[in-house]
Amino acid sequence: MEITTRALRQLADDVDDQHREAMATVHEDLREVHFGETSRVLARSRRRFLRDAGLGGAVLTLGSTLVPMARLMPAAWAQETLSDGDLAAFAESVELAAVEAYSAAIDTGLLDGGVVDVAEIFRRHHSEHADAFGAVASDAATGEANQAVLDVFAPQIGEAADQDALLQIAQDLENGAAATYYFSLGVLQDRDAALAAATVLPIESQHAVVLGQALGQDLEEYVPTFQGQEGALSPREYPVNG
Amino acid sequence: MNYSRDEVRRQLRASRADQAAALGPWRDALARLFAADRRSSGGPGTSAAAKAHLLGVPSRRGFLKIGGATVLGAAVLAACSDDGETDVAESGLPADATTTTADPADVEFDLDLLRTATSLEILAVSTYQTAIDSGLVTNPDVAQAAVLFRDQHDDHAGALQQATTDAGGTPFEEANTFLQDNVVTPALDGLTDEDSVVRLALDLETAAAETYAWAAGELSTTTLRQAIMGIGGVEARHQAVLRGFLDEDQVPVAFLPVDDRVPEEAFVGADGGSGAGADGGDAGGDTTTTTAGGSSTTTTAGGGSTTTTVGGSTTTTAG
Repeated sequence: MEITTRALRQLADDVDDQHREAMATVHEDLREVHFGETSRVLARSRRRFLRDAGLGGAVLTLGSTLVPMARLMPAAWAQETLSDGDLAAFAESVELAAVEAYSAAIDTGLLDGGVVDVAEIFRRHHSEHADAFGAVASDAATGEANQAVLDVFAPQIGEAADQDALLQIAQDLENGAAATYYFSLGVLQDRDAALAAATVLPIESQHAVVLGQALGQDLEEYVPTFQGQEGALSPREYPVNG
Repeated sequence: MNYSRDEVRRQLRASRADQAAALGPWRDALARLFAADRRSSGGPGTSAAAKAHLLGVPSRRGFLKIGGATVLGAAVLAACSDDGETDVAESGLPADATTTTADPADVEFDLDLLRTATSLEILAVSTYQTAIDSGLVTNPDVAQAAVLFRDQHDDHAGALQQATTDAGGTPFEEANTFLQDNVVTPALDGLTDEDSVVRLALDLETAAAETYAWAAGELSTTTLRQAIMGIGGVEARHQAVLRGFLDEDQVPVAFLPVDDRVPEEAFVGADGGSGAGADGGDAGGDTTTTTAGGSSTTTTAGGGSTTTTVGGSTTTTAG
């Protein structure tokens, strides 16, 4: 299933318009979720966020790089406690890493006009997500991209030979984000926090669909039967201050 | 003075939770009964419900919400709750789709949501099959998607039925009657071309995706929340694909709304009935349920007609 550049550009414009509209209140909404009257519920231990068994030497292909599974699976998340601010700061850092990844992809000059439009829109989405999570993280926010995430993706972008290679990296990033939010739903105890994650996961998934179609992938490749946690990013392995 | 149905339901849930707290020994017994096949590292004595009893605070489900405010006395309970490990199976659903919460009110509502989700999946399977058989789908890409999505919804239904069993309930095996009668059947009668078929599919996918996202904020265990979004995320992908067929923006918002979730009339209760009937029925008179975005509205006149809007489609049925 393929999509034309013109159609892609049109879709990108539509996405941008509605995204801006939707973002109008997200800062306040997210702040309320995390620091409103429900905030004390969120202040509890996040041990489950950091639990599960590791998978030894298993590896997963992330773009063109084989990454030890232990770096990707939340199973390896440490036996330590993360606060709400820590979690929000981690999300902020990952979103900012995505912003930089899209910028780097655009700067390669390998993307055609229509795809650049899409990349710019998705980059802006991630930037606005980062702003929102930064506001939630408050003092824990760093305003910096997650260096460990960039250490994985930046070399791939630099070595990308063509547009498809870059789109594949972007899709990997979006799928990784969706998996991370999926796993977080098995960790966050508060219903409002879970609802917030549940409204973000589908959007990252839809980004992955658009990128998959641009890559000309088979339908089954970008529409799995179940969302899983493969590729989820661990805050321990990808620390905020990397 | 008018009361919204949502507010009434909130108050009913709070009352149920308060009742459960007052009936401590009964609740503990029921908790053990409902949690008989659940994994709990500390056993029933360390469940969230048991801790709630010991601490003298409501369970997590019992957070009393009044006018949007949340009474947070039970934060202590939440902090003490120790959910089990997440164990994701090949199916995509956690192998043990429950954790330690054993409050009967929680379990009851969880089962309502699981049954409702199952009924949506079964309805989607039958609707896609009808679309495939209609002869209106001519684009090979659309046909391929319809077959794949039908099969995936069938898998989702199976997973949800298993989760229902794991949670101590009886798996639901029928399509959602309310949506079938008020949305799908009227729409099927009006299908004229491929776009109308895709539009109907998109309406159902939207209702499912947004219902599941909303449910993720309602289910009482982290495992069930994760499980429902293991499916909800896929429904969102379906949405994106279908929107593409309609030349619509495939990712129209940055955060999935929950405005188009199914109306409460579509909820499937323990008796297999839906919505208000599961809770004893409406008190009578006209009732209107309007979600925040205004895009999912159900108006039921006292003994009269029912008008339902789901995913932008509006239907009216005689009472």
